Amino acid sequence: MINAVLNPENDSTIGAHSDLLGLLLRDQQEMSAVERFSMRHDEQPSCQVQQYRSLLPATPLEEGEQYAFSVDLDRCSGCKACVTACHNLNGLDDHEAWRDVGLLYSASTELPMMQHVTAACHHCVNPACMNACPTNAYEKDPITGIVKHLDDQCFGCQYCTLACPYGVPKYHEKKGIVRKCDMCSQRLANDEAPACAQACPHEAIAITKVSVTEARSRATEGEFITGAHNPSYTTPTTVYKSRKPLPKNLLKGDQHDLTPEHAHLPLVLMLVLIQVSAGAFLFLQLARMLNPAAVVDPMLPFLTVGIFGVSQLALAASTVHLGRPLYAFRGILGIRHSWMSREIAAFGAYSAAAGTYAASFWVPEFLMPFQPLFQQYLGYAAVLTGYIGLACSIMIYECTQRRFWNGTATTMKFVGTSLCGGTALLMMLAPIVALVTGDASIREFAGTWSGRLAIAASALTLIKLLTDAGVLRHLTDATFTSRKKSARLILGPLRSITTGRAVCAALGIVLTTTLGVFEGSLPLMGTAALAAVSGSLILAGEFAERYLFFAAVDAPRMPGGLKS
Amino acid sequence: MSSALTKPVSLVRDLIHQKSGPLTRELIQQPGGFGLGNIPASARPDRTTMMVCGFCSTGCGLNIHLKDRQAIGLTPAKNSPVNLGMACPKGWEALEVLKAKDRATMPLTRCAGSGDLRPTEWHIALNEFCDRFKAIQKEHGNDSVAFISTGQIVNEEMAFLGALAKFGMGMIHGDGNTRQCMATAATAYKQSFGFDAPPFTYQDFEESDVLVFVGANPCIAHPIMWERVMRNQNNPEIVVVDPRKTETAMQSTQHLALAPKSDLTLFYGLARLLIDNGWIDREFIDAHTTEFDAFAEHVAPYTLERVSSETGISPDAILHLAHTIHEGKKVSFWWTMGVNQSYEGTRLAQSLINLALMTGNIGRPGTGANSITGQCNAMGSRMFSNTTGLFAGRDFEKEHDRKDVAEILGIDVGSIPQENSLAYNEIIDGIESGKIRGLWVIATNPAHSWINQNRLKELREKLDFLVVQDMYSTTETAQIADLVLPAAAWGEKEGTFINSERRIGLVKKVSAAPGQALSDFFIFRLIAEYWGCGEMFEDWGSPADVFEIIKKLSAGRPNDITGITDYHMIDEAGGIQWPLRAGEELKDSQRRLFEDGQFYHADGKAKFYFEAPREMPEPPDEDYPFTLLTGRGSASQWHTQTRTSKSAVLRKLYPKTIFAEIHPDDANRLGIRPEDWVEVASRRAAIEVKALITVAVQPGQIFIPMHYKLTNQLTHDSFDPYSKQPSYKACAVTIRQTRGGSR
Repeated sequence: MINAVLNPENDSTIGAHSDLLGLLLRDQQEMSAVERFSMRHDEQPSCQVQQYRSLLPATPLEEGEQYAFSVDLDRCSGCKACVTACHNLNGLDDHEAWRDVGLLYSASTELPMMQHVTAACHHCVNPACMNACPTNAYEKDPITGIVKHLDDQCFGCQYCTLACPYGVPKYHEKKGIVRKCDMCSQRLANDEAPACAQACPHEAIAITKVSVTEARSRATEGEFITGAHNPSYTTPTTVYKSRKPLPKNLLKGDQHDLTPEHAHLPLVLMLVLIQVSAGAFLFLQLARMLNPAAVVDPMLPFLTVGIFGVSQLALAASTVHLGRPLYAFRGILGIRHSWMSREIAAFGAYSAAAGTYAASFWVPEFLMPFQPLFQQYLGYAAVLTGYIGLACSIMIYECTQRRFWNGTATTMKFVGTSLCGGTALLMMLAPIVALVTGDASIREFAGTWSGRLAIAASALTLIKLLTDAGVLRHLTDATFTSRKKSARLILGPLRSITTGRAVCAALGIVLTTTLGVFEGSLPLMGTAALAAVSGSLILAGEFAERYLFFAAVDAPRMPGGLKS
Repeated sequence: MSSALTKPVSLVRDLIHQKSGPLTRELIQQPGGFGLGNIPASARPDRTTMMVCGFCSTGCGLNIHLKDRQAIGLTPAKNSPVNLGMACPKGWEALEVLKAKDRATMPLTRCAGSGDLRPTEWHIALNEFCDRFKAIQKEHGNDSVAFISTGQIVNEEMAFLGALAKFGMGMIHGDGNTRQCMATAATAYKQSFGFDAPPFTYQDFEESDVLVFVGANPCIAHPIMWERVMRNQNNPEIVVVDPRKTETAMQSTQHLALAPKSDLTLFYGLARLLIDNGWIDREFIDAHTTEFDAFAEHVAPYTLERVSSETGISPDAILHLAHTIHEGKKVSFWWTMGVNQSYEGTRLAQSLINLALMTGNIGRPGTGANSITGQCNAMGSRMFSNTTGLFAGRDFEKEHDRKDVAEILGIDVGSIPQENSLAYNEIIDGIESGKIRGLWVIATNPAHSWINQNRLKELREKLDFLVVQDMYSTTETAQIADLVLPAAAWGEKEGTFINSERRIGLVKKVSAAPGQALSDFFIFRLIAEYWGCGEMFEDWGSPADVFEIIKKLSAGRPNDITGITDYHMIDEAGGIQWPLRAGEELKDSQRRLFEDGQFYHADGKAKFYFEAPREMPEPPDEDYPFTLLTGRGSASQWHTQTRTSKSAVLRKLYPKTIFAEIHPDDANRLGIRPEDWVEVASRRAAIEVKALITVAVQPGQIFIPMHYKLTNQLTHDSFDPYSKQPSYKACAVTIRQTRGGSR
């Protein structure tokens, strides 16, 4: 028998077996069988459309009304067919779906309860995504109120994903754009119910008409659904109905989940570097004001170029962040409503001012009359535009209403970075410039200056570190607050970054203090080296801080499912 | 504007504000035709066809969208009498899981040297299959090779397997994974009604005015049956008897969160209350049942006080339920695995059957003692798999039955074994004792699903040869096999399933099988050929041929389907319920049994079965103070997850990591915080799970979903003595926090 296996042709029965095998392998791939059974209703009108018409409003919209999802919580059993239907009927990719189902549950013995919550886009009256979008890729349909995303207009900055308090717009990495629910507009246009509504076995999801005024007053009263963000932010229109009101103390399925948010590395680089450069321009300008003897001036051509270079690195990083960087120019279109457009505009101006400032030192004097005066104003312009941009950055995050990103905290962080990082950058650059230019008076001044900057950097970094640590006091919050979650993320899943952040800053502080104290006894080369090392540590600490800024934020979302 | 300018202007306009373009077009929809609404333009079919879903026993009709003869999408079928245009997430993703990268595409054989599974030719694999099984049989006897089958393949394949293994290859022992889900219901019906005959039709969900769900969570396990409950216009009382506050319990009007495994006591107590109050249908009892008086005597000691104290349910709640049943005009009793997977499941199922019989709630719309089945073809495996029972509800031990079958199949009666097969658990015991040396596993995953899993894994070493036939080469069981045979899946072959309400539905070949995967049917044909018993199966050329054979086997039996002419008739009707006898006209798509009060026992009567409740095989004690409950986790997960884990969308819909529901009182006492890692240990194993602190479970109980492969390391291998079904639902465990909790 073994022989037969090795030499099938030697055994006549194997030949017969092989015939059958070949026949069945071919037959398995034969796909004509189904034709015998294919349905004969080619001419039928679309029964799908008719069957689900009851899920749509019977009468047209009137003035002051818009369409909204209506969810009957009492009919939702948590099967989640709506999610798979959204995925399939809209032809979405891989795991993409514009509807999700979360869970609210009780940990109180008095009222054992569990409620699944299905949610898609809430087609808000005042959509945060649309307000945030720098490219005007969102439109709120004037008649239906549907918030539509223009996929071809989007350049993939993902700001809407931060701005929406319900986690609705989702970034599609492969396509480099965001996509979201449009209430199946194409179906509605055919009088057909949206995919999710059609697919709900219990008819828990329907389209309804809501009065915008009523939606506003409900939102003002804070009426929406337990576990969701305060509706007054965007005035969501989805109506959640239930005969038994949900208790307020329900837990969300993902309540205790400690999965860090996306860290957005290009944004980490961009924010830190641009703030550091603005801070450096600020201290440079201060130095010029405080040292009228103009000892700083000989170094300006080099320092300004260096700082400008840092700002350009920042802008390059911000472009990398975009899903479709070729369309970066669309970024200012939303300037009337989007803090990101404003930030882009401000940093554009900053870039121009700083660039011109740096270039001015290298332009022959005859080409630029009143050069020193220009340079004076350009210096101020760079500082001013830089900090306007920084203020816009703060607003970008403040606007999202995330607690960890509130205005005060974000201002402390961003301004703090610009101050400690700005001094650190100048501290690093000054001795290097002195080494390169070689002038004795510059060398002497640069050394001393670097030492003083080191003391300033040390103090500022210490203050920054302490203010950053402030969030940790929320660890003692009695309930699982938003900032308690951030604090637990920082000390939990993100603790390696946190450790890096603290160690870099601490070493930076120790080494800058050392430099400040011992600068006088160090050769310039030593100063340069020590400044480079300690400055890099401070910057590294700031990068880590910004990583935590993104990763440790508690993003408001609809109640999520059990993550485990 | 001149036309020469239009283009550049629109180009600039698009650069600044582009309302449409390639990315927008990716999501353009079009009317799908064929009665469909809008569907993605890229997935517009050129024809459609309906077939039955291949996950659970609901048996939903899925409308498959075809393009160039291949399935490119699906929508739930609106014209199916089962699901009325709806599907659960598994159904929606049924085609997606066929495309998985780990599909078995070639036979795999374990390499002697490296011990790896390596691809081989079919021809070599089939020879190895035959040579090694024959060698084992030669040395240890024919009955030393056994098979474990499934409720997931079509009737025609089950019948082929049963005939091939038992009549062609001389095996005696073969059972299915349906032992794990439906054996109890089958045994209970067989004893009570005289035949394994679930009496209901899904329309009953809509027509009842009282629905009692016992150990069932249809919201999650059978969402489309729940659809039918939600369509009920009678404002029904919905009673849920379950230790956990499940989704279904949330939707109920009465939830009896009884102590685990106190259900038999509860239903005996209820019976006593109904009898004491005269809330019974004496006329029906006298005309159509036997043994009622003995039953009444048996339940007499189950006083309200006793029942209340043993079940933990207040006397008021029990009285209220009795009253509800009495008041109900159309009361239906429904049970699932909470009943079936119990060490006293058969008697428990019968305690519900008894309630239906004594109140006359059977044979009328909206009534019945109704077992909701698990797998898509669990009922097919009970009827036509020829495993532990001879074809179509016959008995191997009865000469008359053997002769019948021999005659119908045109085979020598001597080739039919004269003894019944060992049940699944007994086959496992047989491996341990050395009686079973070779095992053939078809479309099931015991290395994950069998109770007290580690024992089974240890037994692997005792098998001389283990063959696994599956659509994936990565199942826990395939990974420990000596030989893996790549099978085509649901949707890649033809045949029929029988759903919970006895409806025979059609499976069609709408997708090409990957690589050299072959339908189980073809694999059985090849094995017959290579084994040398090909002539016996000359008439078994195609699934349609075998359907004709099945029809003949059913003739004159309660499950007679000789009235079904062919697959076309099933297709036209969207599924046909048994029985349909030759010459009978198919008038109604919602038919129920026992409308004439005639049961299948020789006297035409149903019989009351009862027995005193026994203590849990492994009650909680000082060392293991918690009761572990197991069950379905979500509607997006199917059993051992070999399929459902292959869909990215389904994966989003359930927790990735194994978790245990723990009551806050217990968590506080043990210092366990949400999301902490905790160790759950039974006498058999210790596993680590994440803590979910919730009042869905009661103090002293924890719940772990069955879909995670660690769960069954804990479970205790005890069995119902009549059905031999494993008692998955309750065992004793202890829990403690590990590794400082969170990490």
